[in-house]
Amino acid sequence: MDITPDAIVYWEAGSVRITATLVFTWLVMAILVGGSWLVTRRLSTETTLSRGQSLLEIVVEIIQEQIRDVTQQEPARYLPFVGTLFLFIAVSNILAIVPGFHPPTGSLSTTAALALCVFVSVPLFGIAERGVGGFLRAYLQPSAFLLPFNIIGELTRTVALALRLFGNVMSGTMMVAAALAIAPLFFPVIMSALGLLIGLIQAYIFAILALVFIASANQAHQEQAQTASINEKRRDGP
Amino acid sequence: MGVDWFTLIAQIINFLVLVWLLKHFLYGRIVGAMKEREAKIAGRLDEAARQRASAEAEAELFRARNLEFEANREDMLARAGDEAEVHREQLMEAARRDAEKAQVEWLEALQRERQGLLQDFRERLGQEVFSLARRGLSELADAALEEQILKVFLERLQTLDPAERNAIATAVREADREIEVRTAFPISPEARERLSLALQRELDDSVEARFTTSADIICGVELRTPSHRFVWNVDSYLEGLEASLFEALDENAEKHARLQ
Repeated sequence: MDITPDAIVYWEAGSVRITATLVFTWLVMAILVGGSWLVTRRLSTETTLSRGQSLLEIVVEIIQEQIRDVTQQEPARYLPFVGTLFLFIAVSNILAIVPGFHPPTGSLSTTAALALCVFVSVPLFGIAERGVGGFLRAYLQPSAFLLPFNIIGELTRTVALALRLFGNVMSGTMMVAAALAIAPLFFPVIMSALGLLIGLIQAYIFAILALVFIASANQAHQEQAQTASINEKRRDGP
Repeated sequence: MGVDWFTLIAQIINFLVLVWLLKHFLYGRIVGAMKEREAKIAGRLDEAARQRASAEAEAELFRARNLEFEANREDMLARAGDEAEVHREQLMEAARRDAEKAQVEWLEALQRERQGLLQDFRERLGQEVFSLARRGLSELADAALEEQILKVFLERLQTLDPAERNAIATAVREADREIEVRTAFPISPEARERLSLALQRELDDSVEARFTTSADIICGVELRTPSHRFVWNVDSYLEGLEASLFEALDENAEKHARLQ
């Protein structure tokens, strides 16, 4: 059996290889985009909604609530990125119970790609929030001596993000495969149900962690600004 | 198990494309629709709040009006009662006036009827009296009575009111100094002479008397010009008698009406 869908190659030309990872990624993308298009082409702004619109609104609202809770900011800026992370991972993991479907999140390339996106998005959101200088100064906090540790921390948490998702999804698939070999009747059903739960939890964890990384960089800046203003008030006061 | 770099780059691109597509097809539209719905609901709630406030204000207004109406009801009832009383008084007054008018009309009609009856009675009485008097006097009349009548007439002529005398004299002059003397019976030449002299003395020196007889005159003499007439006869006494009789009758009738 294949541990990763990267090993399944449908077409190859030189270094260009169309693997199961890419094909199933496109499938998930098609499902997400197609479903969204189908539902959102006739949106109702009245109080009566279609089921699809209700579902999408609930999902979007939950994601917005989570973003609001974690960042204490308006969710509009982070919604497309964090929401897409969650939806892509969640749909990929849920579809893992479909026989013949290879979740793209079971590929280290995919999880690494997503982790890289998070890795890049953290400074991008930070720079967008407070400029290049402000963002880079955060690496010198609380002391310039901690700059290497800050950089190492950035890298390791990206790697950890990628490996956590990959390991969980891959292990889920592996466990189902192993269980099928040992007890092919009932046990795999339970494991599949557990896999669904784990898949959703992983999607949630990945998205929340990405959000925390992005928000923590901004929050550090905000806390510094608040501390500075409090100090100024104390100096000005009696 | 490792990282396939082509797949990794392709997945990054795939993810970014997916972010863009979902931003366009999912988040933008869904969030837009939710915001629009929230705005609509907020608008409806505002409208409902406004309408509720308006309804409450209206209810308050009606409550105030009810209270005012309750407070004014006694006054209004009293006023309505007063107005009804005034109206009743007016109607009563009108009815009283109508009744009085009807009574007056009835009394007038009664009076007219009585007057008619009295007039009728008077006429009959007069006629009877005159008939009796005429008959009696006709039976009594003779030359001596004529003499006496002429004597009385001459006395009356002498004691005539100056204004009346002037009026007769003027009338005589206008009638070419001719005057007609009418009597019931032919009178003697001496009496004629005496009367002519008296007329000339009292009225005009050159007056000429023309003597005629008429059965209409009862025991009397009448001087007549085309425009004037001077009469003395028993009729005048009878008229006086008639006047006193009718006066007494009228008084009795009025007394009777008052008692009714």
